[in-house]
Amino acid sequence: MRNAGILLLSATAAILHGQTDVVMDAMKDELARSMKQLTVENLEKAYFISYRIVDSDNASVAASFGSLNQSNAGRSRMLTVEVRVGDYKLDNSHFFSLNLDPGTRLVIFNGTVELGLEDDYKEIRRQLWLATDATYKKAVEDLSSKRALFQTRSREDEADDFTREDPVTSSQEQPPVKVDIPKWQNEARSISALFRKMPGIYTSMVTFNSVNSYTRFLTSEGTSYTRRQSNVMFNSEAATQTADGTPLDDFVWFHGRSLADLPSEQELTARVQALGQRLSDLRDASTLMNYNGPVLAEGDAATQLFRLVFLPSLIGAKPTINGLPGALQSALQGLPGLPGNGNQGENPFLDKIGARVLPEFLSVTDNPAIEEYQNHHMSGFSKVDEDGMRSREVPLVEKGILKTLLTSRDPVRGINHSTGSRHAGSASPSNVIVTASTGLSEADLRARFLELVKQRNLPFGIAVRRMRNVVNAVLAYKVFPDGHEELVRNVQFFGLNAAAFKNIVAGSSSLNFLTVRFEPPRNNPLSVPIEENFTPVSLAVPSLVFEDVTVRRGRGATPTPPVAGHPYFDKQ
Amino acid sequence: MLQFRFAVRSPFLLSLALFAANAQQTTSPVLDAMKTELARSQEKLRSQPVPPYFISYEITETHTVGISSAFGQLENSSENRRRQLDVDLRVGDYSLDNTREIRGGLPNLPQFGATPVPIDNDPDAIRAVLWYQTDQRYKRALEQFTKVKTNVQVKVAQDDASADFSRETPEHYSEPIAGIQVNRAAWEEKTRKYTAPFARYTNIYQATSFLQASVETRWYVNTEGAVIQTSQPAFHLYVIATSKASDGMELPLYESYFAFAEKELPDDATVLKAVDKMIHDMEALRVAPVMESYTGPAILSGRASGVFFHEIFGHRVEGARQKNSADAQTFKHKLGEPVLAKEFSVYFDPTLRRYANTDLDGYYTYDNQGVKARRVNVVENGVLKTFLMSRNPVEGIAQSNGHGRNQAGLPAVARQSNLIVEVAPAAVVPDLKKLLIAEIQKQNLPFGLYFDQIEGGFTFTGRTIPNAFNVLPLMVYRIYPDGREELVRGADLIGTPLTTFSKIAAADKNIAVFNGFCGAESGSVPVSASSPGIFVSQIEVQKKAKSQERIPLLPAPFEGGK
Repeated sequence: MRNAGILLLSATAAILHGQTDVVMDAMKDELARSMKQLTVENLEKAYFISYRIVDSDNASVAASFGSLNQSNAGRSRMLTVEVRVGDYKLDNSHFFSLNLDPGTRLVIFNGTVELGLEDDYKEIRRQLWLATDATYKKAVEDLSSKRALFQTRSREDEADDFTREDPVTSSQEQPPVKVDIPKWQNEARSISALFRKMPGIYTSMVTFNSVNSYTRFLTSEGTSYTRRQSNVMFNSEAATQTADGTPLDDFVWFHGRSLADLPSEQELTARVQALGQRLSDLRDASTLMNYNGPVLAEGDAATQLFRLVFLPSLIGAKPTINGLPGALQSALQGLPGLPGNGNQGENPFLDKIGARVLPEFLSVTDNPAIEEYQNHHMSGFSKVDEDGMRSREVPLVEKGILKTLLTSRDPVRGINHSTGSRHAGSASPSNVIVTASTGLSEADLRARFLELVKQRNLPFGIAVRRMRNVVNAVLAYKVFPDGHEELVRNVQFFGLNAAAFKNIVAGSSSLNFLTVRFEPPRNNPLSVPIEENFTPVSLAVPSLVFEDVTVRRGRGATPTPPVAGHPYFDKQ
Repeated sequence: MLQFRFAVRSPFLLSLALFAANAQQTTSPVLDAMKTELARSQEKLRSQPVPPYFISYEITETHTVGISSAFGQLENSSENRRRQLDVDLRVGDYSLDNTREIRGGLPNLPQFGATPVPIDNDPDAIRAVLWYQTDQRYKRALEQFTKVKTNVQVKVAQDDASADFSRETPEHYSEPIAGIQVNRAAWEEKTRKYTAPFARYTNIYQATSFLQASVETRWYVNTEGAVIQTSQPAFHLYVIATSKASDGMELPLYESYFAFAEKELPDDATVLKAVDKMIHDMEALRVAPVMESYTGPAILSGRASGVFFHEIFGHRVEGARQKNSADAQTFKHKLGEPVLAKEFSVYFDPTLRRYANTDLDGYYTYDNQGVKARRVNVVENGVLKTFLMSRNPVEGIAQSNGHGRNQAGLPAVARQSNLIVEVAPAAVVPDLKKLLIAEIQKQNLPFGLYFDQIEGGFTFTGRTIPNAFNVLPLMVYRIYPDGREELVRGADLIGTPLTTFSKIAAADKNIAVFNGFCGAESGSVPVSASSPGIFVSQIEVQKKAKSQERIPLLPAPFEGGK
């Protein structure tokens, strides 16, 4: 799983290609004109404008039960304009407003518009002109509303609205992925056909996706970058129910920057078979009532728990100052595809910089500069972030002490500069590496865990190898003192929050690797980032022993299993 | 309280395709899989304490080619094929089942949406989806039915005592599956060409042309024995442009073309001529005076009249609205009574492919409930005869007349098809303008109105909001007593149905067709409305909602034309 990409860092894309780029030229010219001339009588000009144009082509193939469900390919070119009015200390950003003007045909939706696919200087200028105009008008109004708000309310977050950074020019080139669509169709068919041999599975799906994107980004401060980058993904999902009706579902997901980063068809086959197998095994597994005691998180579960429970606290994102009206927010959160406005509540780690957040033997770093770690492909590699800042390693926790949070150019209190971590529209992690300085071998870790179980006089301990989400485990086992294991189903973890990570008692020296799809919480759920709508985060996390966790059987009404059997297996 | 907003809007949706109707096999592996799984589902569920009494499966395959350009630049060119499943599963019996309205409760919103079905003709993969969805819907139907039975007991007796589902003859029908072969490169060039003339202007802010070519193939089976396969190509071509007046008012214009075959679409010269007219009209609209509120006589062009009838009349003769307790049921007790001048007749005919030299978008051979399409004379010589019916009966009308329609993923209800207004010679005049001028002189008004182009309309049929309609015109002219015409902007045509109906007085011979998509509770369905131009002795105009956004602050970054 080696990335075949060639990476370059050079002055400008135009020079790189040895030809002029009319798109970039149009961006430069309209940006300069707008900075100089765009104004409404007696109102401020913009102090910052950025243009981002993203060309992308994508392919997606989906199959179920050996048959193609869909196969699509398409191209698009999108523009996002950002206009900031005011100054670095206080501007129109981090303020939520809606434009309810009935002239919806010409209202630019959050500064984002679709462009024609062709490199026509004049037409690109037209669209830049109209989008900048609409975005500027909204910015001026937003700033005025925001100032009005502060007349009647104290300002709680004393952080500025935008960081000052030195201009950077950079480019990143990875060769685009060339998908052989008929080959993907056949692979999707044959991998999804594996479920024809799994009578215990009710529904299943296999998908391949690829997106090649080319981004041009330019700011009025002189920062610019171009980036050619690809995302290639494989996903398989399966679901079934136990005899008592409890729904069971799980998935496998792989991400790469090139086709070579994805596992081979043979490996995918094995992983999908394992997916089906674990769900089938779970159907026959026993359940557990209540358990309070040590928990051993191994394999995927170690990385998943770290990602789901701890990692969000390491992101410094600035909330909007006014938020969404309550009813609208809850309505939007109910809609599929719209991420929840998750960072309205303040991150408690903002006030913990310099304090202990993990046991002393654990350290955490975010490192976008690596493509590979211990022979594992790391998907979160980048040379430059979406603000145009250089990507760099950010030590987050050293020997248990919180050093900083990941930030974009939207500062949070106590952190005045970007850490070069804007991905998928907001501050996000990239490659996250957790290391245990006194890491134990897997065997010693298990022995330590069983020792704790024994000390607590428990008949067994709980080991977890895969989570479905922050509460529900997929693969959890009773581990008995003699070492034998028993799979249990429908297991839920309670009270496992970031604070609980301080009470980890031991970790392994070896690391568990997993790449996950990460969508940062968004200030404004209506704004959809055009460069990437999620960012791949590769995690390397030791197996961990938690001292005391509450585990119980999942409760709630469950649907009854299907009345008729699956038609394919019924007839056999 | 939820209200449905019904709208027809021609530039609203899609369609672009070229097809070759090659006669393929007429026994489909998809149909075979559906029949087999339907029989098995019925058999397996029969042993349940409350088994279903009716199950139908409909799989809709949509094969679409979409191409669009803006200001002479290609924006999108794509092709897509997908299949979606609809299941109608009913427990109880024909007289009372799980679909009955729960009075006082929330509207019975669809819970499932359209389910994707494999596009390979693999019976095992298709049956796996059918099986799982049947089970999900069976459980949902059981829950609904329990609620329905209680609601019937707890609430007052229903006004309309009709059954929940009609009994129909099971149909067997199969037409060959149409193909689609669009020369994408050629259409990419055409859409560029159609939008390039707009690019000269700095005060046109949107200019898009798009072609949507599609073939919709539907397979339908039910437990009564119906087995149906239909396959219909459709080509839609649109040109849409928007300008803005200095007071912020947006000025959209569009041209739309619909045909069953690519060769029936207009040639480049015709489209480019229309584009020139749009540019000219936008220019004129920008400086046209704004229309104030007004009441007085008006002429509606054939297309305007078509939409007018679709809104004020069509939505009110959709059968299920006569029994829904929240609907105003305007025409419920008017069967056999005159509702229009005696020279006027209105019928809906989904079997009509062409009228007034135009292909009709509301054409189909079978509706989404497996009922054969047929002509329905709703108004004969001014007298209301019947309603448009799905398989949901209303008092006095026990059978469907083939108008149970839906967009994939939503339950079918009675919807319109091809609406045709016909006027007997006694009310046809050679020139409506003369009539209009006579009327304004009689009423001593400064001017009358002529509604030429329209973009669509909407209406409310509920009881909690006044039962008004709104037709959204694009080009409206004042006509003065001396015959002079003056273009105005910002006028919406409004009114209430019964009052307005009584004011329709005469028609001309200029029959025109409006093809478009109609949106209501069962989703978006293609329809058409055809009518001669009509004279209405009194209409009302309301000011149009207007944008408050200024025109761009900076001049365009390039030289404009003219």
